[in-house]
Amino acid sequence: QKPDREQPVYLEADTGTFDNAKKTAVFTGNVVLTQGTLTIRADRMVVTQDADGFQHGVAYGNPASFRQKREGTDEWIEGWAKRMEYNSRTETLELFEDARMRRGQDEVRGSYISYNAQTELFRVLGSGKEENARGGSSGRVRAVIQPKNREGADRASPSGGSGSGRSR
Amino acid sequence: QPIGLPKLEVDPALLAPAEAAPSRPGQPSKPEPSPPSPPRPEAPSSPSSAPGEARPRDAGADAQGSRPAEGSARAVPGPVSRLGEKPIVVEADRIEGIGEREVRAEGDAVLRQDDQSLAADLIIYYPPQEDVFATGNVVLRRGGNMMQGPRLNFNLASQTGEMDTPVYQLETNNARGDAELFIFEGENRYRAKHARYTTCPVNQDDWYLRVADLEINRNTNIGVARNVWLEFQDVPILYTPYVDFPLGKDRKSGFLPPVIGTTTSGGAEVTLPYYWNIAPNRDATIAPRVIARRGLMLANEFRYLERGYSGEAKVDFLPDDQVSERHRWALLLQHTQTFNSQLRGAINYQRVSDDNYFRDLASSVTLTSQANLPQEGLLAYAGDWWTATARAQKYQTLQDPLAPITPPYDRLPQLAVRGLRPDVGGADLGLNAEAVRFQHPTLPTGNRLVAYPTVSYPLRTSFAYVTPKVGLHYTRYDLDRPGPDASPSRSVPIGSLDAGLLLERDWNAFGQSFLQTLEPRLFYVYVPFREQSGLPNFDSTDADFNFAQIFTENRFTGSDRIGDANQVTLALTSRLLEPDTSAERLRFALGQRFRFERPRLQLASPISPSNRSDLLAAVSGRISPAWLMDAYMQWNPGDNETERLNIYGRYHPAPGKVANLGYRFTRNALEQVDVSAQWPLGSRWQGVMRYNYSLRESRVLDALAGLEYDAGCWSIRFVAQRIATAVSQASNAFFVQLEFTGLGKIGADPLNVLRSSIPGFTPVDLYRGPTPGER
Amino acid sequence: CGFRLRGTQDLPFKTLHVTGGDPVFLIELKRAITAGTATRLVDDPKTAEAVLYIDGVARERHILSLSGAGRVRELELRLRVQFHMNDAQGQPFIAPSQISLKRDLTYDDTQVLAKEQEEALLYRDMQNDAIQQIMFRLAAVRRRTG
Repeated sequence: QKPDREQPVYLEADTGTFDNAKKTAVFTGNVVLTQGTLTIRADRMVVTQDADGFQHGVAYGNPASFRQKREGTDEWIEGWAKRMEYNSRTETLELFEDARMRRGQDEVRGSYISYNAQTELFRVLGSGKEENARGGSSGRVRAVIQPKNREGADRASPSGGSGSGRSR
Repeated sequence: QPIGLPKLEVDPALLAPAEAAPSRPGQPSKPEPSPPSPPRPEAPSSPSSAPGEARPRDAGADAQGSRPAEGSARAVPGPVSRLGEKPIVVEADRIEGIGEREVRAEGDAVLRQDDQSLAADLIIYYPPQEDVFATGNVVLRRGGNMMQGPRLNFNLASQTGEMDTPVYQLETNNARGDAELFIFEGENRYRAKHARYTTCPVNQDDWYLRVADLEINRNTNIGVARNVWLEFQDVPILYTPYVDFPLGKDRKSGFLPPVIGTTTSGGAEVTLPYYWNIAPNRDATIAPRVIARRGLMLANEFRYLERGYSGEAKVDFLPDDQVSERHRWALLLQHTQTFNSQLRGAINYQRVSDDNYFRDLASSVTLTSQANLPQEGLLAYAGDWWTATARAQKYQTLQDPLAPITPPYDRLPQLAVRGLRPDVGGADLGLNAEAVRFQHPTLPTGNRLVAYPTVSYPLRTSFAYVTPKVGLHYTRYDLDRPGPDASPSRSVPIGSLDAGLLLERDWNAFGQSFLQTLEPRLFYVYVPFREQSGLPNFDSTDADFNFAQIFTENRFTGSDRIGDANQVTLALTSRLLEPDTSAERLRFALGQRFRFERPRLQLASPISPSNRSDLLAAVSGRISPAWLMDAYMQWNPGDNETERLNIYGRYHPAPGKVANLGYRFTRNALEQVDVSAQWPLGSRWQGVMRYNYSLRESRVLDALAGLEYDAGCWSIRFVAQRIATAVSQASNAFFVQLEFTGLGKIGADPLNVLRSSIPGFTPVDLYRGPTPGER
Repeated sequence: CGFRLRGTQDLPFKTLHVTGGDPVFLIELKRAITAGTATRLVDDPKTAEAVLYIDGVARERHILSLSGAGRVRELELRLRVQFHMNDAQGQPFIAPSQISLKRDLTYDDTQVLAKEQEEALLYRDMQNDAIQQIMFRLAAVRRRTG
């Protein structure tokens, strides 16, 4: 079926307020946004729209979470963070504070994760030394990759990594 | 392992740094069903400030389908052996990447799987080509082995790659070293260029093994080193263009460390043995030995172990010995064979070219003291209650011109049967029979037949036993001499009664409650007199008088003389048994023989006038954990003299610390003092000594002194020894040996001499504490 | 002075299997066990309530002293017997232990044949001594568990 981008967006929340002047909407209380296979849950979400119609959403939660099925596969991706920002102009998703993302059994954790769907560029940052000093999370990025069952001994197939992702 | 000469056992992990190099992932193995434990969301940290400034990366890559970032923070598959086995953990300050094409872990990046890890400032992985690059403090670690360097590149698919200027640390022997280049040449195959290897701790560069080109092949378990220099205190002392060595435990052909030494008669000498591993159960050692004053000698040894038979053959050959102007050779064949569970055979044939062979060419006391070399072959059959032996035996006698001896009889052949059939109607039936052909160049020769059947009736309870025994000893000779008395014979009845009691009590000593036993014993023998002066004497002489002999029926050994006897032996033994295990801690024993009639048959020593034999007394055991003592006295009440007195004490508080004191006295025969010790002198030095002085001949029989310096990763030992090899001849031997821990020994090996000269001697590497710097 | 006759030695196992060691040593040991205790020897270790392992019987010859002419004057004959004993489930009755014995023998190069037989006599004497000590140790098992 059509990729998520072209799906309608549904949004539920306990309360919602709109400010047409600044073109911003604020939703609070059990906020659930769904668009195709994408589902975002948060305690509070602020959605703004810029002049060109691109939306910019910020979700706050303890943690806020998102879940999406990868295009053309049956693999789910999930992510958690205190604050998540999505910018549809740059198609970049950013997770702040105790960011954690998981696909299948592989998982990565850091204080900041960013992913650009257009360039497939991703970045996972530790929280840097100062927060570390304040006893914050270890300040390091940590990824755990479970062993994968590779199909066949095809030399080119990547060792590790989900096999299906390569096929396209 | 080749006997005697220690093999240059080059440490298998030599320069095979962390085998962290990934091996080709095997068949897609079923991933371990480790349940993915859902990570607990971490405790919410304090309201965070804005994240680290996120540097926008240029979005050069073309947009492929949207893939969430997480997928790309995939493991950088560094040195993982079986990728499909264990989860990979990647930690770094930052992980970035472009979809499936490139992953970068930056800032103390660490990739860990099972017991392997790759750490570096930056690790980049290109999944399509399976290339891994690591730069900045790259550390490969696997188990206890570690290798670090500035850069590493590695291809997972082909298992090839390189690391520049690696420095490594190995677990075995705490070996370490460095190289100019380390190359991964495929699965389990590595190569190091201009490598150095030592087992000395970091700040102690006493010795290095420099290898221009080292090849390690874990598939064939063979290592090959080319242009190898051994440098000791920066002085090259050993060079070999090529050496290969086993990486595993199995033996490998190759040169053994050279042995350098000197002997008084031969001068300086060098031996360079080559060990040839013919097959797992066959090997040979060929040792050319250049002796300054004598020439080139070849000492060969061949060993074989087959199903059912095994043995060894030694052939030494020294053509044109310049000192004695003749060929010198030695031959030793030892072979044992088991035909089936009952029948086994053996050959023991030793022969040398001349009487002085060992005195001139051997340095070990066990060889130089040999006077009669056995040359025999035997077959032995073991029934369930009897054994039969057929043997052909002769000797080569090595004469010392100053103390000539008559060679022993040859027994060509000897057939013997021994049997004991227990519990036939309550009685035990015994038989000792023997038929022998005695041959001799000068002494009278002939055949002898002996048959000695016995019947005994053992009565036994838990605290007492009484065993009456009666037998008839029949002997017949067929002598090679004319005349009527060419075949004399003798038959003599022998009766004996062996009885004893077993008493015990609990007794506290040294603060423990021991079980003490008291074992009185009585042994009566009656043998009527038989005139035997007309009989030849092939193998009889006076037996030693000791605790074993006083409970036998004949005071002479062999079968040619049966001593008449009407005597009883009384003995008392008391043992102190450890509280819980009943292991014997200390033993006292007293024994004396009382005659009812004065024996008439005399052979070597005269019959003592007294009806009471010498009194035997013995004390032996462990007085304290460190003190062992052994005292034995034979006192002659008739002459009121001590016939024999042996006192021995050993103080052995800890391995590497032992002192032995021995005094041996036999009236009119010998009086010797034997002192030996191994003692540490300060933390690094150790002294060994032995002094065996004959008071009667006021002559040093065996003197040895040695020093050993142990520097932790190497040790050097000097041992000088002087042994009496003939009435007026002695030989001095001098050993110098350098040992590199984990590498091997160079020089003459005195350890066997030290073990036999100093009871309780422990080689330093067995008890050396952790060398400095050892974790 | 407190000594009493040694009581009967019925060991805490009715059947015993003895294995290992060289055949000569084994025959003598089995003879001592059947004669000295009420325990029955069985050939099948599985049916035995205890198994006595003779791990090693080593005979050695060392030169004790040399004559002035460098010839062997006295030999020290040594016998080392290593053994341990487990019950049917493999639990140790007797931990791995060792009995070391030695005897002196004067040696004379002119009496090689005679000395060879005396050597055999001394080895047999040490063998009986070792077996007697093993019997004491078997009895100690009774005291501990009896």
